[in-house]
Amino acid sequence: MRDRCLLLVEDNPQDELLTLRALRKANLVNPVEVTRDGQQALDFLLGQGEFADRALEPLPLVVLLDLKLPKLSGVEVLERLRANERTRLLPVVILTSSDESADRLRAYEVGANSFVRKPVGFAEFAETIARLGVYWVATNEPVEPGALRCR
Amino acid sequence: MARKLDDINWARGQSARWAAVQVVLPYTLLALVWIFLSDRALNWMVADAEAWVWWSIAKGSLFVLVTSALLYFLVRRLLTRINRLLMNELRLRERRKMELEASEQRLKFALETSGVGSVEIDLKTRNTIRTPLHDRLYGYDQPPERWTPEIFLGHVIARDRERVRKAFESATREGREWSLEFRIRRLDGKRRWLWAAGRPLPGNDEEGSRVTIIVQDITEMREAQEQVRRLNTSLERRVAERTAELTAANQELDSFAYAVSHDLRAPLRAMNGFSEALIEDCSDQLDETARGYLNQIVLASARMGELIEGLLVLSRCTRGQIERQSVDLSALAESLLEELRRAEPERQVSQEIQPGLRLEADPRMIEVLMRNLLENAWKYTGQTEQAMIRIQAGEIDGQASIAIEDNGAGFDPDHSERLFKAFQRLHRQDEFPGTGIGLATVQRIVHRHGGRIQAEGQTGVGARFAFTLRSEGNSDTNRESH
Repeated sequence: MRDRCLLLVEDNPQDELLTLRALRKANLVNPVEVTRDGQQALDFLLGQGEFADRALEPLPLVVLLDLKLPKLSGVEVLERLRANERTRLLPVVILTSSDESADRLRAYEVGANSFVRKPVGFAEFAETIARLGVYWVATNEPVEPGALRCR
Repeated sequence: MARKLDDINWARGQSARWAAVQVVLPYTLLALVWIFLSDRALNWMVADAEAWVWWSIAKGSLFVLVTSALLYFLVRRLLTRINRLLMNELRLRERRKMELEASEQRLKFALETSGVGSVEIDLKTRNTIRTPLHDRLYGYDQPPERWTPEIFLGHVIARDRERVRKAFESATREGREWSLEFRIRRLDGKRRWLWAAGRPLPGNDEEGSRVTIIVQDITEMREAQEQVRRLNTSLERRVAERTAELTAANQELDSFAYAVSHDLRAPLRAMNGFSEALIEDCSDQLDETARGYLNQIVLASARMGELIEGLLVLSRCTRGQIERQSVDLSALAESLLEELRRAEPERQVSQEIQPGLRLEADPRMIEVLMRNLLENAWKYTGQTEQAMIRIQAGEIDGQASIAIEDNGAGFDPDHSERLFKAFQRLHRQDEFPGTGIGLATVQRIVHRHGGRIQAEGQTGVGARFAFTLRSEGNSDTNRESH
């Protein structure tokens, strides 16, 4: 479990830095991979495009997915992940500035596991990210790698 | 009618018989008395035969003279009476005739001044009686020699002809009233719109069936109607266009506010975050002044965050449909105040909420509205001893209203019109912090519900906000657009 990574999909470099800092402060040792648009995130997870030669296993423990992303939006990425046999059960947490109920509804409709609003205040933001990281890395029990293939 | 005539004849017969009796009866009585008495009286008075003859002749002559005088008198009396009766009858007829004439004049005047032509058709003989105006409506300055249904139909334009013929025929067959609008081509070739209405006239079979028809030129009226219809259509189209433009502009504005609020958050988070990170991670390299400046950046970005938050709420209250439900306002106020109490348990604020207050409103919006008003009341009573917040029903111009009242800092009533404008505040940040968006949001919500809001206040005494929400539906049409 310790070697499995977290995937952060974030196009804003400052948010990326702050998120990484918050995760680091939470003493998580798992590596954090970062992709910066929807297409890149999809390529990374499905092993295509620039990540064609990447080893597909193991999948990240969790994907922290922004909604407003270049090329493919967070919702579109999520829809495609859910449509793919390999990633349909992958835990995906929507991490966004939006607190529109319509966005929230849409995210859950296409299969988000969680919807978290990025707080504007830094202390709150850091705490939220830390809690998220700890929960998905240490508390949550993911589907075991290979379990899908065995079925 | 016939029955009445018989009555009169019968009455006349009676009176004629009685009149004859009146003449004959006195004569008979007198004659009988004479025959009975005269000879005996003569015999008694005259003995001589020669003289008796002479007296007898004189007696007979006297009888004739007296009866003649009597007859003269009686017949004259009878004739005088008859004469008087006839004169009365004659005068009555004269008066009726004049009244009939006056009535006809009135009708004629009414028809002519209102531009209505009139025609009466005998359907059997095909004879017509027409007013001059009737003929002029069809373009005839001089009355035409003949006027028949065929000539009339010849004036009706081809497209209307069959319709007019059918309507006229069926109405005549069924003996009912009818009215029609149709187009004609006049003798001079001009096309006009006419309106005609007809009614069968009473009459017996020998007289044949007659129909009276009035005709009016309604070309101007039709043109005016057409004009009104055209104007209405173009007005509707223009309103629709404007509405579409307005809706588009509104949507643009909404999505702008939405996008701005969202996109402003990311850089704000960065400013705030890196300032805090700097304080946390590198505080040993920073002196007091630098830390002070960084703190100011953190404070400013926190305030900007609040402003963005307020703008988002305001923009959200502008968008979307209003879905009215019955809302228990008393319970809502209770729970909101409870929330405020939990957040600041050290504050002592007494509350008075009228029980059973209900409203037809969009539940989410009414919560935003009440939250803003109660937070204000809570905030501005912060420096008041024995703070008090009261929620009760009231009335604004006869409409049921809800009032939220406090005994807090109040406001200067001279500036009350600025109260509801976004970003306008009547207190300094160091007195009472705030964004100046809350009451703008409240007003927006009230307006979207078709209601009104009033603010009353006095510096240092308190404030009172009363609002109405129109209870019936379709108030969403007057959506705020400024």
